[in-house]
Amino acid sequence: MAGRIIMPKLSDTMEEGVLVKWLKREGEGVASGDVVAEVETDKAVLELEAYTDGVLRKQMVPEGARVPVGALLGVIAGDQESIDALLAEGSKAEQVRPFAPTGTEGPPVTPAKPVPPSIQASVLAEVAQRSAPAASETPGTVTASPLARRLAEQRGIDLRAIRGTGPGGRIVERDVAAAATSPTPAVTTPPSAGDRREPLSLMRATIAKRMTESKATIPHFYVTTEINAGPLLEVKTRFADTAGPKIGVTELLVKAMGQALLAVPRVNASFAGDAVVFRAGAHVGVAVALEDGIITPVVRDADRKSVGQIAEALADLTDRARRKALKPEEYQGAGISLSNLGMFRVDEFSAIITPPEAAVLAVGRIVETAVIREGRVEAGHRMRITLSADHRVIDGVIAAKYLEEVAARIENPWQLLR
Amino acid sequence: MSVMAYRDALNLALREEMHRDDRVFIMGEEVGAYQGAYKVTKGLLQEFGKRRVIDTPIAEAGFVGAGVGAAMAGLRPVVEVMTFNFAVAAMDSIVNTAAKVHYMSGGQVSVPMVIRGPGGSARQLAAQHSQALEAWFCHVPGLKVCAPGTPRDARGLLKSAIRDDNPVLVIESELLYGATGEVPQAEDLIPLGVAAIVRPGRDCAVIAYSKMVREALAAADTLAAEGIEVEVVDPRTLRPFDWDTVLASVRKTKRAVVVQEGWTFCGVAAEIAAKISAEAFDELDAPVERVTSLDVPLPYARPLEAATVPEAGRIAAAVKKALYLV
Repeated sequence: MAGRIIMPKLSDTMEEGVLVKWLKREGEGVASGDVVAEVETDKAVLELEAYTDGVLRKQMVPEGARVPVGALLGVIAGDQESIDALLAEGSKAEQVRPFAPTGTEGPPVTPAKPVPPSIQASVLAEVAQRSAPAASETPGTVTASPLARRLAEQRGIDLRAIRGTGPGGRIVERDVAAAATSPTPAVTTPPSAGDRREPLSLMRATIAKRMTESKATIPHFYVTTEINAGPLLEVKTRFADTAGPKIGVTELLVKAMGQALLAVPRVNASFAGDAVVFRAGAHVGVAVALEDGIITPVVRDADRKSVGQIAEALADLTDRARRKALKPEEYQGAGISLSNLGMFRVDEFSAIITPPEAAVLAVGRIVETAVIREGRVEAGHRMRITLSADHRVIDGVIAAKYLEEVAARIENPWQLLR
Repeated sequence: MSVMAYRDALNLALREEMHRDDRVFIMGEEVGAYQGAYKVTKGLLQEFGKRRVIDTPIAEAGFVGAGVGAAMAGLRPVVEVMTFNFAVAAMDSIVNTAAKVHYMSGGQVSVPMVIRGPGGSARQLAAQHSQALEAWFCHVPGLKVCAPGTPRDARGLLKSAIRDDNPVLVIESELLYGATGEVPQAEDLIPLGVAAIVRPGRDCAVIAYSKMVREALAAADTLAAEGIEVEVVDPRTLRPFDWDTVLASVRKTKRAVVVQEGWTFCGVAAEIAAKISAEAFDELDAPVERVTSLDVPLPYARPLEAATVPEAGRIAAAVKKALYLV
């Protein structure tokens, strides 16, 4: 009795398979249990066994073809048995298409234009021969070193989106590394005319890499509160006219954040794989925007410094940061950082944590708004602060407590000046 | 440790092994009264007598063949060829007899023999006397081939070769005979088939042997000044070959440059490059580079000779190519 060889469903995720190799020829005898073909699934290459005795009468698909699960691959039947009905069924398997290895799948093949009969066969052959080497340059073909291929696969980077800098445009290790640092590694659309391509500065590349790592590996969560910024404004205004260092929101925030670190030491910590490392001092980083990036100089022992000292330190650090004259120890080692966009039209935002810190405080602008006090609407000033916290170290309550400690201090800024 | 010349290290190995095992004897042109064309056998005739240090006529086919016979009869001959260029005259004894008798006799007969002498180029010895023919010997199953690059390796490998029960070719380098280096006072057997990391590095593996090690190290020095850290690996024995060490170095550095004094085509470097490509394919970031002699008989003229044999500059250029810096 005739038997069908069909593409088996060999895993839950399998939708189609590749007939890698026929191990029996047409006309060759087959016994039940014989391996007739090799089939490649999305996970492995497996042997396909026959379930009937007979002769492999017909191979329905060529080697290398990709066919859907359930499609007819071949027919086993007696020598003289009619298999017409089965063959008719098989012709429905139109989804069979040649297999292209992953990453080299080109655009759909358009049928060749009909050739006018006047062109002689010899000319055609010559043209075919001449154009043959170009086959390797068809769109979709990727030239990459084996190492680059492996790294790209490990990092889930599409090689087709990378421009190779090796000989002949070969994609090499450094190209994959550069692509991995880019937040959107795949340039999915080709640049159009007039676009400008600016190579990454070292700082931009580092920021890209570290921020991607941070957002991808640190489970961030966010806690926001609105604080009464009236007293803060008062202080700021009071100091505006005095000589000496300029004291503003940032300076007061730094001191408040430093003190709050001591009050909630769990925030002043780092996740270290198998341990949580608690920091000794209360050091606060302050994000400073540069032309091509950001750097976060650190105010050491912010809790113990006077606001004036903090202002002096910040003025010096910011100045040198802009001239790129900071020493590594001056922008490393903070327990928490401050990112203040209050000078712009930003009401509220959440910042990305700079590892190994476990939190960052994002500060919006002070807004004059209607506030309700003791049942009456009156004018007031409000400011929103948002803590981004690493949930591996800091839990919600801890984050809330820290925010509360900062808020309480900012709402009583005169105490910070003592 | 004491500092001694490559030739003296070989002499020490011979003396030590002749004292240890009285089956060991030396045979070759000028090895006795003249004390060796390169003075490797200096003093041995006086110390061990005519029965164990035998001067032969200029007839490689004869005395190498006699050595093979002596080994089959139970002695442990060390046959000196004045240069491996002349071993070509004895190829039948080496390839057809020494290499295969153990196999063809079903293990009943062994050939515990050493054939040693200089190979490769020296200075202006012209085409017939300047060939690095080790690929010819490495090609043959049944032969072991080593090519020491330092005095310590020369002594240690020759001692291991003499103790080995198979035919071993110790291909020395004429230009290294006067080179000095540290050699331990104590017994120091360097096992056959074990490579050495001569200089550790992270950017590119340079695999070089015999006098090419010196060129590789010189190239590494120049490259280090440019911030390129080359790892120099000396296989020391070409067959059996220490693939583990070489492949580990390639896997670490992701790039390989193979240096060999002989010609490119079908050379030792070709074998090493093929194996690296097969075994470490996914680790490579660049094709394996080869630095070899140009594909011509070695010229006599000094400048042409220098332009033909691989040197540090060409090795450094190959490393830069493998790093996509040129």
